[in-house]
Amino acid sequence: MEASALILHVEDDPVDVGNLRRAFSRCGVANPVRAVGNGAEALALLRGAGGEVGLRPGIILLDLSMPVLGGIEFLREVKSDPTLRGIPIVVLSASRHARDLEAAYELGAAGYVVKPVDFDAFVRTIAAVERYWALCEIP
Amino acid sequence: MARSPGPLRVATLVGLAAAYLAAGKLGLSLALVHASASAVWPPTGIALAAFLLLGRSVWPAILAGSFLVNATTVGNAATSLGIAVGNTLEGLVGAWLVRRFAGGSAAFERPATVFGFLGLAGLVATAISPSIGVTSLCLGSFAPWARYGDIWLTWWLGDAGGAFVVAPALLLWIEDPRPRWKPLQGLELGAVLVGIALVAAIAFGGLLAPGGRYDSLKFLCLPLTIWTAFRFGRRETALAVLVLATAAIAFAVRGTGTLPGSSANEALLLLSLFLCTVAATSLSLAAVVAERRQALHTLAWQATELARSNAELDEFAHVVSHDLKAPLRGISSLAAWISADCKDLLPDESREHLALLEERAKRMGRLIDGVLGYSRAVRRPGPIERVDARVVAEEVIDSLGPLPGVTVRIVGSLPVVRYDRTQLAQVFQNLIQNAVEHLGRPRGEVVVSCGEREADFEFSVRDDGVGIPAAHLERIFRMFHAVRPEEGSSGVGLAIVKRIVEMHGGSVAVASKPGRGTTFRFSIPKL
Repeated sequence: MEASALILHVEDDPVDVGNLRRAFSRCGVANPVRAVGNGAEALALLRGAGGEVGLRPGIILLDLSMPVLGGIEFLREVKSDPTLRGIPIVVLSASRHARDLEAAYELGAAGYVVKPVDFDAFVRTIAAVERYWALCEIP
Repeated sequence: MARSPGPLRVATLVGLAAAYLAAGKLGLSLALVHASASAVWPPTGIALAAFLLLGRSVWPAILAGSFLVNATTVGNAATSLGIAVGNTLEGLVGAWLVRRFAGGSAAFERPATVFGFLGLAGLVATAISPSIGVTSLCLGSFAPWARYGDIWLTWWLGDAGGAFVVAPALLLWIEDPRPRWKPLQGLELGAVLVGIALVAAIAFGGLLAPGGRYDSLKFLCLPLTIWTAFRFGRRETALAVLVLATAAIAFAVRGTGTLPGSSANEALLLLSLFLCTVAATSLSLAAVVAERRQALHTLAWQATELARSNAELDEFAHVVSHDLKAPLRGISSLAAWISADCKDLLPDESREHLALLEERAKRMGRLIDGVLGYSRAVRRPGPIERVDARVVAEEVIDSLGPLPGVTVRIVGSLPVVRYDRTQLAQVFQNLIQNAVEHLGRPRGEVVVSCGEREADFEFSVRDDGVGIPAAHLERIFRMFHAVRPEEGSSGVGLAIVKRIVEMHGGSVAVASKPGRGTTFRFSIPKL
């Protein structure tokens, strides 16, 4: 993933948004990050409203339980949209439930990471995610 | 106190008296030996059913009906009144006994109460009517005292027949009169009833050969009534018994000669006994079958309920742990942010407090993981299959990786058992991990072994650590009773072990000598 590629963070909890920013700065990820509070806002950005061109992030980091439009519903929308389905989406969720895992992968999530309680562990997790995506070529 | 009875009540009483009278006349028309001796005395059944279903207040109807039957048969007003009192008392006492000791009108739902009903109402209470009745007849000189015993016995067995044959059919059909057969079932029941009548015709009516030659064939009716008990229910079985009694008596009356026995009286007694035996056998069997059907139904319902409640519990554990963890993650993160951002601003003590805060949040996270882990470990077990315990134990030991200072080994042979493979691995893993974590010394050894007992295998995981104080042993298998809140310990490992072992029909135990080591044992029933 190029260092200039935009990272779209779909997350309703401001603490989690802050966590990710801090984790990125700790691991030296300098990509621009755009955070939105739910799936509907994210879709509006991606599809471009009011004559604006839709956003094309290099990767989307997605929480599952959110108001208005949840993560699973958002995944379904994006993956059924031919212009958007190429964007890799990594789920960042607190849920370990098999049902959520299966649903996410079935709908085409590129990865699924369970958010640890401990901040240091979270930083290590994000570092691992970043290392993996740094290796990957993204359209 | 006097309250004029409503028209409905009067109609009920009059109808009941009329039914009693009619049944009495029918019974008399089927009398075999002399005017008032019948193998089955239907009025006894009517009185018993009436007292059980309508209550004891219907006694005037029974008394009147009984008086009319006897006044028009033999004796005078005084003897008829005596007999009527005896008949009424018999019904009252029988109904009271059944209500008190045999489940009342629901007596035919369970085998124990079927026997209670037949014994108390059929054999005990029915001794009242002949005792009063025969005494009345003898006092009025309508019967010789010398034949008191004979007549008493015949009378008693006839009344017993009424209680065995007529009362069950009445009780069961009045309580639930709607036939619920599909056309084919109706046909089947009809065929069985015709078969029963045919057996009665051959055995008692001399259909194939006269003179009681095929009398012993009467036992052929048993498979038919038993068939009814298994294929249909209690009502149909009572009906089959009633059909058998009616046909047998009707055929026997047509030609008394076909009854075996040295005298007609003896033949009558034998017929009574035969009918009572068939009734008792079939009705108790029908109750067993009905009870079993009910039990299976309840079991199936409970299994569905259990599955539903398990699924709910699973969902609950998941939601709780997920929703509890979200704020916890916030707390932990904010504490980490503050200690990172204000590293140089905060006094040492406050930084220490922040570290404690983070540590507590982490522990809370582990506890929540423990709850979730426990509920996951014990829900939806996988298939039960033949598992080589040695292979599983070796895999678990390998998966633990190198443990500095600790050796884990298997001593002796481990058997093949029937188990959920994943859960067996979980048991080994939790016990070995527990032993390693709580060793309390820098070096040590954990030994896995198994002994064979008569009904099961007893596995043990033994360590040579510092041991567990006796006070802790008792609650060690409970959730969150970790002796020390160790780093990384969820506090549910042993609770999971206990739950899994017990789900597979085994038990867990722990023994420890402080300073010498601890041994955990769990049993697995043999294949």
